[in-house]
Amino acid sequence: MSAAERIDAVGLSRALAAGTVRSADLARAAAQRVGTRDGEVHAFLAFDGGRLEALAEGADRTRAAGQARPYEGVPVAVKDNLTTTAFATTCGSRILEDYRPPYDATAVRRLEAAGLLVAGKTNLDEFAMGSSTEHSAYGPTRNPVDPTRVPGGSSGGSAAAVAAGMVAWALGSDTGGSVRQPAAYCGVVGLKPTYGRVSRYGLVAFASSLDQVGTLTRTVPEAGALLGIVAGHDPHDATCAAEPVDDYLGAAQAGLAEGEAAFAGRTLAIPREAFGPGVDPAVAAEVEACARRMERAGARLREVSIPSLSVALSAYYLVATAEASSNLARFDGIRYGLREPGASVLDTHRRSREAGFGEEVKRRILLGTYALSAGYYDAYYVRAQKARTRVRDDLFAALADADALLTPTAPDVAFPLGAHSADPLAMYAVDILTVPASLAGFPALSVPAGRVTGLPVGLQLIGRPFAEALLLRLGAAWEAMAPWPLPDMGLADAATAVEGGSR
Amino acid sequence: MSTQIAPVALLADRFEYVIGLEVHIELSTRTKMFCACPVTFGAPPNTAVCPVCLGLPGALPRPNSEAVRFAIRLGLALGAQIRSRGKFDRKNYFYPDLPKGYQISQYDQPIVEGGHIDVPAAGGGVRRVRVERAHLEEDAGKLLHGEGEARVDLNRAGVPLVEVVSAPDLRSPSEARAYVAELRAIAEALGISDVRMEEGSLRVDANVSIRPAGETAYGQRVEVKNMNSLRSLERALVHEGARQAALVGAGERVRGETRGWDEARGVTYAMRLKEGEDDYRYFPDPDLPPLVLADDAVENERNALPELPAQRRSRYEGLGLRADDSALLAGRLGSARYFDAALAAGGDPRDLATWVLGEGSRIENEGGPSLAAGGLSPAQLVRLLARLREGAIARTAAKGLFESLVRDGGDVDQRIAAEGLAVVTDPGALNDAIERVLAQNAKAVADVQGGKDKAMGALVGGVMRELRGRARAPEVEAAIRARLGLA
Amino acid sequence: MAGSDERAAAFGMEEVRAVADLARLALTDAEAATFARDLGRVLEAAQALAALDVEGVDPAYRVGAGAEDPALARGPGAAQARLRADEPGACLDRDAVLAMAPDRDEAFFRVPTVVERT
Repeated sequence: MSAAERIDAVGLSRALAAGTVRSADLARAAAQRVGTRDGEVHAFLAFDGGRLEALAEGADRTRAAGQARPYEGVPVAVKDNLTTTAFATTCGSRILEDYRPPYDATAVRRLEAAGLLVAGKTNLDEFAMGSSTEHSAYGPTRNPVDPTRVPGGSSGGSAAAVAAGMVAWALGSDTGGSVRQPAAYCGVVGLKPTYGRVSRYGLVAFASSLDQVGTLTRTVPEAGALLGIVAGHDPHDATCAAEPVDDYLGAAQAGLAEGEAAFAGRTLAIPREAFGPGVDPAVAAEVEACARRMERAGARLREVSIPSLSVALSAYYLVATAEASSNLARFDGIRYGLREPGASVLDTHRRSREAGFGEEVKRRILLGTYALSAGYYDAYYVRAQKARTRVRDDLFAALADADALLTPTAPDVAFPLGAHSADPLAMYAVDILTVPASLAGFPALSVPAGRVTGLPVGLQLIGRPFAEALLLRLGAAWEAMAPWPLPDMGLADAATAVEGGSR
Repeated sequence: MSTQIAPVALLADRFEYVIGLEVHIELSTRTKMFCACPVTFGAPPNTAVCPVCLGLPGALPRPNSEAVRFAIRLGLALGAQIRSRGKFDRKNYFYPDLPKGYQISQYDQPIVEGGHIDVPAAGGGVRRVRVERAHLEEDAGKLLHGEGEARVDLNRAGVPLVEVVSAPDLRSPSEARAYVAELRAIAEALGISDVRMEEGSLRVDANVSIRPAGETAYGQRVEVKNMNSLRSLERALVHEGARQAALVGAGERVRGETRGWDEARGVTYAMRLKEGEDDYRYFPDPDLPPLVLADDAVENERNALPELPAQRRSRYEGLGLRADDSALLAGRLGSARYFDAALAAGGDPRDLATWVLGEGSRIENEGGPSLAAGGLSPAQLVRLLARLREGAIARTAAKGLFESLVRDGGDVDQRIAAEGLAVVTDPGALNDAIERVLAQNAKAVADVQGGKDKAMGALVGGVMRELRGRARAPEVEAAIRARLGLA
Repeated sequence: MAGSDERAAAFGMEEVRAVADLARLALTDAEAATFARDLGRVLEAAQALAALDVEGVDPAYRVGAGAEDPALARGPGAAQARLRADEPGACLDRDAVLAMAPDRDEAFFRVPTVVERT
């Protein structure tokens, strides 16, 4: 693999610090790649090359003045359900077309405080509801690996931006798999932190007890670096944990350096249900092969059974849609967003929401409203939350004497655009392997595992709460053992300058 | 009026009231319940708002610790249980003054459970009114209705409220009024709210039903809203009870509905309800962790509880005041504090009570300032009463001086001197005045001498007028009797 | 699977419209039919939840440190009450706020006629 391909943001930040690469170069490269490829891929809903270049030049001046922050001048993409004052925040919906928030999400503020430059906002399934980014009101995103296929969702735009080499890293959000599954489909690294690890202030809520800001990056150390920037307590978010922030980048770099040695003495639990019916046999085989490689490197594989996994998907769709139905009630056309005028307030509410929400969002609002409604609350919502406790307990038990659970990230590879449009339930089934970690609130990392029919397959590592450092270490060790091709970012000139700098 | 009397009588003979009250108390914290916007009164519309209370996408609630403390304090004052581990729930409905499309409240784990308020029972004795629960929630904004449109002001959206729900233990409108008055006095004494019904910092909704006297089953209850003062609360309940009694008396059924009180017309009216509005789909708010109180949170509040109205009433009765006077004095923080300060300045409890509740109330009822707000300090009132008791001034002069000082301020002794209010002590002046009056009232003199004591009043009055009130009637009368050679 | 579609159709148009009313969604007839079918199928799949043994299990309304486990609540970084001090913070500028509104005047949000609520 050439140095050009191995450039990652960490190496970039070193090169920037050394002065061998300028932020302006990065900005121009990003703009150029967006210009050449985004007409087809449509990763971005908003990209401002001129603004990025101006900011980059400012970053270079800051650096020249000796005042550079850790990642001064590195471009980053942000999913369009995180509020930004510099760009509209549409959540992929007509109801928020041209909506300009008056405040920035905490995660965005922390990016900017570390010197990163927000290059633009990426496409998503409307209000993060979907697994293909086909439910965006602004058109789908295409998988850069195969543009006839979906990039996954709902953070498809962020995954595609990284996979297409437009940016080195991006923020997404993960509620039931929305960072991990697109990472798997696009062949990049996706991390969903422990629930509460990253502030949700400014992340437009889909399902409050499940949503987390996640990272999409080309390599595992970059995921560690990005997590370290955004993680940590935020007084604006009462659900944000006060746990100390580990050195995630350091843990990943240690794993990268160790390689196989990192797996010696480790125990990986393999849930039987994650490799059986409902999972494409070729995908299962690919991930099993990876597990065997880890075993050869010294890891102990323990087959476990997690029976509650069979109800996890149903529990997820009841809980998530219930919370969503409440979270989306604020979109009523009164204080912001789309208003379709009516004769009365009732009329205005109904018309605005009818016109502003897409089909999938309506479907989920209806399902969630029903699950909470009088007479059904106990049978659906409460029961789903009890099933959730079972899933969490079962995952805790499985991890009692294992370092991580290992599963395929998705039961399939990227499917063709439109393949599931006739059957929403088939789309929901794509989430079966990612929702358990979401329900339990545990951290989960998806890394490239290989290819099936030429399409990327992801493997998922699930850890105990706040064990991101361990996951990143193991994930980076895997990266060293079985490196995957990194998207070309058009930085050939800068490549020689950073040769060897990423390690 | 006659149509009103008959049903009320009907009520008294055949039916009894069953009333439960839901009282919303707006807390006087500095900031809102779930965000740091200031709680203000009268600020320009939509200036005390932020992403959280506006319900902007991505905003999240953060509970106000002071509001929690205030709720604990109220629970303790009601003798209730304080829940050490509870939660917040979402109450989901759509309305333009509700930015998030849900209200954050507490459904099945309120912070306060149980407790009671005792009020005088309508037929005598004490009515113990059980408090079922009190919980924290956020207020909605304000909707201002116009012609074919309405305007929304969200300054009030998110202000902390405690909702106190009573059991249906009240048996008369007067008891209901007393309950609210007591709850108001308690909240005021605790310093947790301005409790001004006319400003909306105390709001009452009533659930009213009637049933045949002696019946234990409940009748159909009706919710009554929009009562903006204690007086309108009582009037509304009287009217509603009578309305229900008339219906039942005519063989009709009472409809379960919500009715508003129209103060101007003195009637309750049916409020339009939409179908299906009642399903609030309560569920625990996932944006808020469980509300877990620190181990010493309750004890800290218990140790800091101020004197409560019931304790104050007992204290005043212990000083020799009558129960009803004690209740009146203790019922308002301002008058109670004034009274206590006057006691501390050496005043006699019963004397003070008479003046505070007598002349003091009269002045206030006529639109003048309350004693607490007026120009007569507690120490000065004590001085005034001392001068009266010493005989330095007469009662009429004292009343006039009292009013003048309350309205305009000043010093008692200076005013007595400046206006020559002192009782005439010069016997010569007194006798001169007596002579003049006797000369002008020969018939009255003859009557008195003839044994008609009633005519003495006219003579005494005449002398008082001559002396411009600067005399005391008993002394004047004695002097006249002496002059006339009577006993 | 014709049989399950029939059962799914048991989630009828009336139910969907009632739920849509609660959610303030004005559905077309076609939408109502589609959603009735979809909801029926999801709920049928959710029947597996009914079979799950949840005896003595508390609902996990939220997860994360301190959420349900009292032991975690006392540990480092405990969530506890997460209460905010009663200190005023910055408010938004009114013009910025009203600029986002679809219908406004100088000081207020404007809405059409409102039916009086309880």
